[in-house]
Formats: sequence, structure tokens, C-alpha cells
Amino acid sequence: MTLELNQSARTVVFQRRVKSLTHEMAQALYRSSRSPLINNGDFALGFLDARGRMLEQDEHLPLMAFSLYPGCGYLMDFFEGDIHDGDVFIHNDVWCANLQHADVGFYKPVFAGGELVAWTACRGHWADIGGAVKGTCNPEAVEVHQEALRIPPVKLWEKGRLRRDVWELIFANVRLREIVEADAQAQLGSCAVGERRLRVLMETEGAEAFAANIERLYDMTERRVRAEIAALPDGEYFGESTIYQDEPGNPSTSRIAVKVVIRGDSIAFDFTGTDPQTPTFTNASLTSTTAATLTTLLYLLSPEVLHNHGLVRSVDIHAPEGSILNACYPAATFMGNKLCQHTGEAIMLALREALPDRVTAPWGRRLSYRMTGKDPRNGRGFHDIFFLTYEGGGATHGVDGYNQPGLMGGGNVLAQDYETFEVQNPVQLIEHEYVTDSAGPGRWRGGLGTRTRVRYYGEETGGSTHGDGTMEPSPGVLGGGAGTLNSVEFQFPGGARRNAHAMEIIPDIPPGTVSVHHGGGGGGYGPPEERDLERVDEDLRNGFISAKAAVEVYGAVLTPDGSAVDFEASRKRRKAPTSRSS
Amino acid sequence: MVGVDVGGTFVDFALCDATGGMAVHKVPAEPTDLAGSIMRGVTDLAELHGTDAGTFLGRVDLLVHGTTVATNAVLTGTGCRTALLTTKGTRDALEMRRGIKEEPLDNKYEAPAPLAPRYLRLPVDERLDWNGEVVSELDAGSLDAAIHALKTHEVEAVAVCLMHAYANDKHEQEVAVRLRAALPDNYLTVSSELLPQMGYYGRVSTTVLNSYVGPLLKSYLLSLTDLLTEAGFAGQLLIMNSAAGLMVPAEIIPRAAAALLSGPAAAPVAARVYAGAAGTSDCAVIDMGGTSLDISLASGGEPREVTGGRVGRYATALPMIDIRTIGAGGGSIAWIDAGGGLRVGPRSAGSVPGPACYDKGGTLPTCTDADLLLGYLDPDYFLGGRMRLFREPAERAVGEHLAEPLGISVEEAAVAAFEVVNAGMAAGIRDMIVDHGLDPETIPMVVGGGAGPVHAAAVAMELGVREVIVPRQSGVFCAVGMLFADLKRDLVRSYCASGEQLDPERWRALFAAMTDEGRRTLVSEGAPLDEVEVRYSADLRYLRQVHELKLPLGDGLAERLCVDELHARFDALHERLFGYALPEEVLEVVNLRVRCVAHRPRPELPRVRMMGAAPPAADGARRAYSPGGMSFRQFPVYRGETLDGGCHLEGPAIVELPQTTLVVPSSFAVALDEAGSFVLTRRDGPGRRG
Repeated sequence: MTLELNQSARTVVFQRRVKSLTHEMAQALYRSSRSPLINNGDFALGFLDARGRMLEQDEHLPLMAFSLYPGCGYLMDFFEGDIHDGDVFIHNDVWCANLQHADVGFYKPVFAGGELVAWTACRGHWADIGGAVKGTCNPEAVEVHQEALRIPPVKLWEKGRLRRDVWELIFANVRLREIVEADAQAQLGSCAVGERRLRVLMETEGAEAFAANIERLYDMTERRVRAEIAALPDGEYFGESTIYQDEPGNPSTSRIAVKVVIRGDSIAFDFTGTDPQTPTFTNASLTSTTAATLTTLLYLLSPEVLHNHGLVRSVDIHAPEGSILNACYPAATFMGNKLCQHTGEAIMLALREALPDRVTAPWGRRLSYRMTGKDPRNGRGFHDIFFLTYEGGGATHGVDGYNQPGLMGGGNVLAQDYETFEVQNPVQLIEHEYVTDSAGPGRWRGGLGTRTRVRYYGEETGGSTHGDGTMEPSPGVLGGGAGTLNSVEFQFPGGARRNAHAMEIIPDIPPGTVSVHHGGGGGGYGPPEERDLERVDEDLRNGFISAKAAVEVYGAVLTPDGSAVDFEASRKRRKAPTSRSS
Repeated sequence: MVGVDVGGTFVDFALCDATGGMAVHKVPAEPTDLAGSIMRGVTDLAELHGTDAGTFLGRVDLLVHGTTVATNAVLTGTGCRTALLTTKGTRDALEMRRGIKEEPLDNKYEAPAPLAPRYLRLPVDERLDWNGEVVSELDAGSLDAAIHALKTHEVEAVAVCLMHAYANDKHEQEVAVRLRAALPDNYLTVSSELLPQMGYYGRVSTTVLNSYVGPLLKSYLLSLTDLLTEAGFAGQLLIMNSAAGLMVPAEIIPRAAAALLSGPAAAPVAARVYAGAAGTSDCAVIDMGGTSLDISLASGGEPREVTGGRVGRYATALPMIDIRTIGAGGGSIAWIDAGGGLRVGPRSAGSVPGPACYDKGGTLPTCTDADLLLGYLDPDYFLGGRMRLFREPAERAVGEHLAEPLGISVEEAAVAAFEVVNAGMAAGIRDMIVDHGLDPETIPMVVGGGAGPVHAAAVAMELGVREVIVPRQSGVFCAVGMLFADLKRDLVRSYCASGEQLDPERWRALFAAMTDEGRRTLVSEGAPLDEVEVRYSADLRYLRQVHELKLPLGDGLAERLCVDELHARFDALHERLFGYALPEEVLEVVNLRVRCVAHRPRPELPRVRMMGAAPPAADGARRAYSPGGMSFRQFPVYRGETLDGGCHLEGPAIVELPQTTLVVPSSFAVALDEAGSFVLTRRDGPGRRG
């Protein structure tokens, strides 16, 4: 007797097999890439189905995971009837469905029996993609042409033959050609590995079963997503978040507004009411906004939900054209992904009453800082970004905020090791510690803020700040308090001090200067006077909160020496009707 | 010679005598008295040899031991109250963990609790620069305050880790001298003594881990030594470390963090032995137990290692074998998700209540229940008949939780669970093999653990692996591996220099000092000096690269530095691993490493008598699921102990062994080799199952 393997099991097995192939593609990329960006995981790769829909990917950065399918859909429309075995397409243009121009994608169709059956794709952050400024990050840009070379989907290989003319056209416009070309080869190699492996899988599965498995996988995923959405309370929910452009002499704000509509098993995100795009480089493409929305939704669903088209098609997203979340040509967009954090924040704030046990309070806004100069120890140049100046995450029901920008703000970037930092840069790290009372207070408090003090002894040193959080701290939710502000202060050798704006170039940092960088804490959740006294005691003992905060904010009574919570007296005090005042 | 591997549920023994005979044994582990469990097993072994424990122990020359004491303390958070003394301004690095959040999409993800809480992380006012030069002297007042706090909080263990102490241990030694005088009974770890290696986070995490588990390992090993001595043991006790090297208790006690993978590190050593007997030096190793699957690799006859990894959720920078664990074991629970997808694991029914078929209160379907319903396990001969399995509760569990919701038969549901768990295992093994740059289609897979041989052939089909080796002693695999391990000492010194700054004299002196220390240690452990093999390597990278690569240094490069040659060799390694080299780029040296190895005489695996290849008559037959064929069919059943060497069976077949059951699908043949291993080989062409 021959059995049919149950379809559910077959689909699960199929998914696991495809996932494993994406891991192999990632290894192929790692092994041959030259740039630290790609080696730090700033890429996404995987498979799309025959219609260009999201099938499976290797995920390092949550946002990037949703950047593969939009470009594929665009190019399939554009090249309809002209897609052949042996073609490879290259694409970076934001107006043809991309996150940002530095993320360059390669798409390779997979054919079997003369039919297009799938795509393999790899998108990675290039060290340069032309434009006015080396490294693509041009804070002065007011339109795309000052940022990057635009590559709408173009055939780089045609029917198995490299189009050298196209290759040269692109690389004639790219700086750091040697490194970027090697990355391009690595990305192509990774697509080739994916194609080869996928063909083997398809031959063993059979083309029909392969296609059927894909549809069942989407159905299974969609059923699961919709079942979880159906469990959410119906309603229309509103939230907003404010973006501050803290530039010297030219401050401005923009507002993101969202209406979340939950009805039965459907969910829609409508960003109508969001402010228009700006003449800066902080504008998001629709692809970026979609990625941010889906990523935020994943926080609200169970972690086992698979990331494929079944998820994508369960969600409606609308961002008005010309808004800061769906900017139109010729907007500059390099910093658009910065808005993802705000998009997520607006959604979380909208749902705080409806999904109190799922939402996360706003997390510390990212304020990054980079330095560059000459190292007197060896005469060589140095350049580094302070990945260690983290802000605190937002609190959620049951869990204090993570001590790191939790959501899309920072991604999963490994911060510098202190000793390596000092070996590689002419600096001394004086202090890198958590800051007392920096976390937004709450029943669950926000993640802790950090203080980073660095002394410089390099020559010709300059720096620049980049980010947000200097004007408004991360608010708390449902009775929780706000975290602290971000700031960067420079203490110059002569005694002069200067607070930097969140977007500023500091051209001259003489030896002996000390910078003091505060990364703000995350927002708290729920009234702090409901915080478990054991946790208050522990925070006090560890110096995460001060004795003053324990008494005045958390409503505790301390032992006579002020070093610990007096549990008995605290309970009594909290029960009293005026427990909030001391 | 006796190998003793203490696991979560059993203590495994492997005994090898002078005539080349080998015996294995298993006793239940009593978690609160592991040393006692070992002594009980020793008594059993003595009885099996017709003597008493004293006489038996008197004849044991060598006892090699893998212990889970350190590992369990970390996994269950039951280590000692540990304090950290560190440079003022850096005390939170331990808790910040370089900012990593392992599950970026889980907004309720919590970081592991730091092993030294913040109030026990005490700042010491001092500073060295990147080159080890003193920037500010050690402030005695800050040290007094720290010592006062240590006493107030009654800490049991202290870790000292100061900035750049790898380059200059002056301040750490000053602190250590004071601490040893003030708190003589405290377990103390000094980072420059344990691991003089650049990289503050890795070093501080390792130093704290070491103190956290140190007192427990120390008291365990001291009491075990006492028990053994009292009972008449006069031989040598050696402990397995995480890099599969052996150390005497006095050497590993101050380096307790090196014992964190003490047991599992023996798996690739054992695998190497069995794969070697089957004629290959590269292999993947899987060990599938009740709750999880451990995966490791051996290549070129050596276990694949990493310098810097995690144990539980804590980082260590000590060298250790690369071992990965996925949640797939006999007790893994099968369930249906909200989308209708059948999943297996990571939740496990463990041994209590255990799979439904144990009939000990478990009602959820597990991998073992599926294995039973598929005909692979004999309910009357599980673990050689020592434990009865019950079909009816297994059917009920699979029926209620899988078959009914999916609208299929119980048998089909069992097949589905079997296929899903195999796909997960295959994917985990494949990821590991690919990460190490090996090809699953060219290396064999060595299989251990009770549940492993049931699934191995099906997993091999999924992976494209063409050969599966199931040692006869697969149930006590790691205990056997311990008999084949060597004495090892790993040393490291950071030397941060690049290009023209490299000083050949300093380079040579650092290597010489490490070699000398390593040799002396091994000799003190009983190795003859002229038999110590020394291996040199250096961690190198191109200027400002993020990751360094370990380059083995043969041909005198350690004794006589030639920068051009070093560069050329690094280029070649980089080219081979990453597909490109940068010959014009400045080369940075990060760490110098020495490994001293004293090879012990290797026991011979007991040879099985080689008889003809003719298959013996089967002991019976039963209906079982034929993976790949998608059908049930009759499988002849053989008793493994009765099979002769050289015997050759075509699948389908089931071979029952006292500790496991070997499933041979129809696409495989199995032969019993000279070493007593069952070697399964694919009969059909390459390619994967449809």
C-alpha cells in the first residue's frame, strides 16, 4: 500500500527544505563578500515564486526581509514576455519598489521545462552607488540625483551572456569599484547557488508538487495570520509619531499618522493624514513603509508565523502618495528607513488600548555618531561609527524594555568591543555604563539609557551626529513614564562645551576633547506604582533607579539607610488612597 | 582504562582492557549525587568482571571523565554568587553583551540575567592604554571599597578583569595579591591568567563564567577524587575539556569554564575513531537523545572547533568544539499550529512524563510515539527489553492531537510527524556542514544516541549523505570517545601589531614562553617531554577587518617570523575561504596561539570476527514504514549482537540493539565492519527523496 504523505506535513517539510537553501545562499555570500556592511549582515536573499511573490528568505535585518518581493513584482510587469533562462536583473531604484538606493538587488529567474518556476534574489547594501557623496549618505541631498545612480530593473545577463556594456555603465558610476564589484560578484554567486539548489529540489519534488506546495504554504500561513487577527478586537485605532529634524538653524518636524482597522480576520493600516514629503533625505519609499508595517505586525503576532506571501496578502497597507511615507520622485530617500521606527511607534501607540498585552512602548530613538581623522600611532586614517551608544527599548506587558534599541531602530548590529575600539581608533573609552533613572518608569520599565564618554587624541578629527531623540523623549504607555533624551556634548580642551544637534557636522575635534553621549532610555509600561516591589528593590540595589525615584515614582518606602525597599511599609503606603504623592 | 560520561539521565561507562576487550555499561544518574552514581557504576563494572570495586579500581590505570557539573550550573542558573572587579567605567559590558538581541522580532525577548549582578560588579580605579602602558595607577582606596563590598555581600567567587590586562597583567596581579590575602577561601579567576586575549567582552564573560561554575566543579572533583582514592583507585584521573583535550583535575579546577562542554566534546573524538575505522577522516556527528539533537563535525581527523561561542546563553572565548543543538529528540512533541501546519518540537515531554507510549502520564504525541506506531520500535524490546512501551496510549495521543485535526489515519499522522522531524534535523545538520565549507554528499554521518539510529537513514536521504555509521556502542558514544582523547593544553597571547610594527623578537619570545608553559604542564601531567607535539597558529586579519582568521603556522614560522611569508600564507587561506585575497593590504596580528598535545597510546577498538557476507536468517519480521517508498512493508528483524563481522544485509531491515534500534530502509544496505560498526550505504543513485 502506498501512502500519500499528508499535505500539511509535506508543506512543512517543503518549507524547511527551502529555508535551508537560503542558509546556503547566505554562506556563499558571506564567504565571498569583501565589505564589512555585507559581512555585518546588511543584506537579504532568498526565493520568490513564479509570480514574484515572497516565498522564503534568510533574514538578518527584519526590514530587508520584505525588500525582495516588491522589486521582483515590478520587474516582472516591466519585462513581461521578455524573461528568459540565463537572464539576471539588477535593480536599486526606489521608484521601482526598493527600500533605498544603496540596497542593490539581483534577480535570477529559475526555469524548468521551459517554464518560469521561481526566482532567486539577493539584495545587499553597497559601499557606494554613485551620487554626490562617497558612501551614498548625503545629508545635503534634496533630490535623488544628489544621492545615487538610479538603476531601474536592467538585464545584466541576457540568456546566459554577461552584458559587459551594462556592467561598465554601472561600475563607471560607482566609487570603491574594487570592493563593490566583488560584492556584486558575491551576490551573483549566491543567486547561482540558490538556483542550482532549487532546481535539484524541484526535480525531486516534481514541478506540479513544487507549485502546489507553494500555494499550500501561503494558505497555511494566511490561515494562521488571519486566525490571530480574528482574535484581536475589532475597531478603528489611531496613532501618531513625530519626527524631529534637529539641524542647526533649520529645525523642523513631520508627523506620521496611522489608522489601524481591524475587522474580523482582516487588518488594514492607513497612513492618511501623514505629513508631506520633505526637501531633506529623510523620506520613505512605499516599500520601506510596507516593510516597517509588516515588521511591526510581526511583533504583535506569535513568533512562529512564517514570513511569506501568505502574510503579505493578509494585510492592507495604504500610504498616500507624496507623503513622507510614500515619497514621490524626485525626493531624496537615503534616511527613509529612519522613519520605520516612527511608523512602528505610531502603530503601537494606536493599538495600546486594543492590544494592551502585546504592544511595546516607544523605544529610544536612534542617535548615531561617527568620527573620522588620522591616527597619530601609525599615520593612517580612521573612521568609525559608535554602535555602542545604544538607547533603551520600550517596555511591554510582562517584560521590561530591552537594553538596546529593540525594534527597527538599530537592527542586530554587534557593538564595538572596548579594547578593539581603542586598538583601532585613537580614542580612550572613559565610561560606557547604564544611566540611573534613564528608563521610562512603569509597572514594566523601559530599557536603560547609556552614557558613553570618550577622549580623543587623533589628528584632524571630525565627527557627525545623525538621528533623533534630542527634542522629545520616548513616551510611556498606559500610565508608564517617558524615557530620557538623547544628547551629545563636546568638552573641548580649553573648557568650552557644546551640545550638538541631532543632525550636525562637528568639523574640528582637537586632541584632548571629551564627548559625552547620552543614549536615552525607552518608554515605560503601566503605572510605576504597580511595579512589583521585588523589581523595585532589585533596580535600587543595582543602581538602575535612585532612592528618590523608588520613593517618589515607584511609591516605595525604603529601609532607614535607604539601600533597600521596606516591603511591609511599601505595601501599606501603596494601598493608601494618596499613594502617588510622598 | 575507563571512560565515564555523565549525562542528564544516565552515566555511561566504556571500559577497555589490556587484551583489547571493550565493555560498556549505563547506570541512571542521580543529579544530587553524581559522584555516588559513578561509584555505583564502578561497582557494577567490577561485578561484571567478577570482582569487587576495590580490586577492580586498583587495576584501572586511567579514568577519563566528562562531567556536566559546570554545564548544568549555567543552564539552570545555579552557579555561585559571583562578583566582578573591573576597570571603572566598564562594569556594564557584561550585561550589555555588545548590544545583541538574539530574537530581533520578539518584543518580549529577555536577555539572560548577568552571572554577576550589577551591585556585585565593582569598579576599580585604574587604567592601562591599548599598548598596556599605565595611564593611571591602581587606586588603593577603590580596591579597599571593593573588598569591603565582597565581604559584606558574602560572595563565593570573584572574577577580575581589567581593561587591556592581556597586554600587561600588572594591575590585575596587584588586585589578585590583595584578594588572595583578604579572601583566601574565595574562588578567584584573573583574566590575564585564564585567557590573556584581547577582546574585553569575550574575556570578561569568560572570566565571570569561570568563577560562576568554579567552586562547584572544584568541590565535585575533589569529592570524586576522595571517593575513588578511598575505594582503592591508584591510577590517573583525567577530565575532558571543551576542546576535547584531557587535563588533570588540578589543571582544570582553576579553569572551570574549560569544562563547559566536557561531555559532548567527546562525540567528534569518538566519531573520528569509528569513521577512521570505516576509512575516512571527515564526518558529521549526530547524537539524538530524549530532548535534543547535538550536531558536531570532524575533519582531517580533528574535531571542528570555534574560538568563541556560547554555552547556554553565555559567551565564552575559550577554544571549544563547534557543537549545535536543535530541539529534536525522542520526546519532542508533535502539534498542529493555527494554520494547520504539523510541527514537531521544540517542546519536549522529557523523561517525565515522557512520550505517551511510556504510559507514565504523558498524553501528547511525541517522536518516540510515532516511531513506535511506524513499527520501528518493538514494545517488548525497547532498550533491550528493559522498558516496556505501550501502543494504545501512543495511538490515542497521535489520533487525538494529530490524526483527527488533520482528518487522516493514525498511521498517516505518525508518518507525517516522522517526516517533519527528519526534515528539521536534516536542515540543522546541513546548515552546520555548509557553514564549515563541507559537502553533505561527500562525508559520512556517524550516529549516536538512543533515538538517532531510528532516524539516521531517513535523515541521510534528505541530506544526500551516502554513508551512515552506527557504532555498536552508539548508546555510550561519548564514553568511548574519552578513551581516545589526548592530553591537550591551549595557550593564547594577544599581540596587537600590524605590518612593519611586527617585532620578530617579541613574536618569537611569546611563542617560546607559551610553548614552555604548555610543555611543562603536560609533563607535570605525566606526558614524556619528547612526545609533546606543539602546534602554532596566529589569528590574523587585513587592516580594519571585522573578523580574524586562524592561520596554522608550520615550518618554523613561529620561531622565525617572516612577514612576507606570513602575508602570503594568509592571502592563500583568505582566498580559499572567501574567494579573494588582498596581498597589498596591511596585515594585522591579533592573537598568537599554541596548542601542546601529548598523544596517549590509543586503545584498539575490539575487532569483530569477520565471517562471510552471507546474511543470517532473520529473527522475525514486522510491518514498518518504509521511508522514501511512502509505504508500509514487512521488515525482517535482526538481533544486532548475533550478527558477525562482514555480514551484509540489504534493506529493508530492522536491527535491534540493546540501547537502540537501527532502521535500514530499502534503499540502503548495511554491513558490519571490523570495528563492530553498522555501516549503511546508499544503494540507489545520488539525489534526494521525492
